[in-house]
Amino acid sequence: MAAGDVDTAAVLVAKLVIPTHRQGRVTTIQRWLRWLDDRSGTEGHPTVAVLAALFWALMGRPVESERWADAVDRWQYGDPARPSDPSTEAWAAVMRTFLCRRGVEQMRADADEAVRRFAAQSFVTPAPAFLQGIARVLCGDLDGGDASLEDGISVAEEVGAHEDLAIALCERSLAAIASGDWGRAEALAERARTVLRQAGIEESYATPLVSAVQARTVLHRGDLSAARRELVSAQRLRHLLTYALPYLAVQARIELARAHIAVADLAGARMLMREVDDLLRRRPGLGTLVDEARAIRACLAKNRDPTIAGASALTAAELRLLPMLSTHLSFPEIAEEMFLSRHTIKSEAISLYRKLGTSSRSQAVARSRELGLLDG
Amino acid sequence: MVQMAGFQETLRRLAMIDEGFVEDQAGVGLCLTRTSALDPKVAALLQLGAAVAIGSPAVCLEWSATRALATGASEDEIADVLLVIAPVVGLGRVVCAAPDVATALGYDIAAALEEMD
Repeated sequence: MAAGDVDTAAVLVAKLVIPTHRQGRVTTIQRWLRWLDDRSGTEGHPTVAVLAALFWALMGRPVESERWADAVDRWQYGDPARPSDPSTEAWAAVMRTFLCRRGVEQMRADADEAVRRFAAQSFVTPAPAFLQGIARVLCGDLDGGDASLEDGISVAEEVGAHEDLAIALCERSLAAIASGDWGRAEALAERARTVLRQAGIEESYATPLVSAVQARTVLHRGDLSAARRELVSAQRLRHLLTYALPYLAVQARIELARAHIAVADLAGARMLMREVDDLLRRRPGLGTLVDEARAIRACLAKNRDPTIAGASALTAAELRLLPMLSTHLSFPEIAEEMFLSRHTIKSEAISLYRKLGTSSRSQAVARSRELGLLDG
Repeated sequence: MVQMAGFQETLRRLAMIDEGFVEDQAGVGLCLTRTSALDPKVAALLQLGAAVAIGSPAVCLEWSATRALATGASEDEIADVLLVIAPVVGLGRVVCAAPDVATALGYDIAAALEEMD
């Protein structure tokens, strides 16, 4: 294939990634990006690098996302004489906001820049406003944040950006909870869930936050079984929220931890808070979330009741292993597939069986299906 | 799903430390609140230290560390247990235990040593 063909493909990919992603065709995008990556097809096409950094972040693949984000930074800051490219500059600001690699104050500055740049080009997309809303909230500006989120919601509805819309609705629902308006909070959370359901993208990076917020609102009116269903749904998908989307990863876990505490599952809450600690070690500057995490930690430290480590205390590693157990792969084969040692797989599997209250692989798979941790 | 023979079920449940089974069938009390002076977290950390000291198998170490986590112990506290008992139980015991305790904390030492940072 000639170099010109690769260039043409890169231009097409840059154009098609967002609409294709909105259709939920993620495997197709992965194939395109890998194809271009293998042929160094992103050189000279920084838009593709920006979109790749965003895409891998949404897929829960932080290492790939970081690699592309670094490439964008090199393009933007490494060559002052590069030709002007306002559209990519605008998307790069969205990417920096989205990935929040340098704390929430910088996130807010990047969000403001993204809003300005998109407005200058008269390009309508919900991401800048909704990210600006989140950044403001995280910096403690609740009113300013709410106004931006409202803007983001109206644009997201217009262009059919379902995941952005669901998250913005959740953020507003959390603001309603904070002000004690539970009725409004529940309506917003329900709307977020409906958006994902109607779009057929219930297995999304937005799902853990939607489930967390719904769990909290249904718990407030005492519906324990609905809350437990939401917690299982969040548990299945929380691996998608990594340090590549640090504020969402921490926020969703904090809300889930609150819900676990409310259903008296302290082991589950502690597992989530350990993940929060790990995320905050990598991304410490997360504003108000740092204080929220501290408050939950203090609450858990006060409560000394030991709890048995059950299904809710499955670690992230164990949750990743779970779908592999339902295949016909042997432990050594799973180890190879997951780039882990055989010993680790065996050890994780035993711990998983114990937490699920089972004693064999098939029982563990069956139990996980009953609990809703696996499809089928 | 294949029905297991009784002895198979017993041995499996012992091998993986099925807490309910061990308590009921082997008569071993695993409750961490039997004493009033030690809180469950301290009790769980002490049990982990003892498990390392007697050279317990991997599954016991992973189970002890998981229990310590469930009582609110942090990863740092668990790793420190290995450090503080080393002068008493010997370095060999602690070195042997480290990879299994690490696994319970979701950290695959073997894979991490292979990986490029």
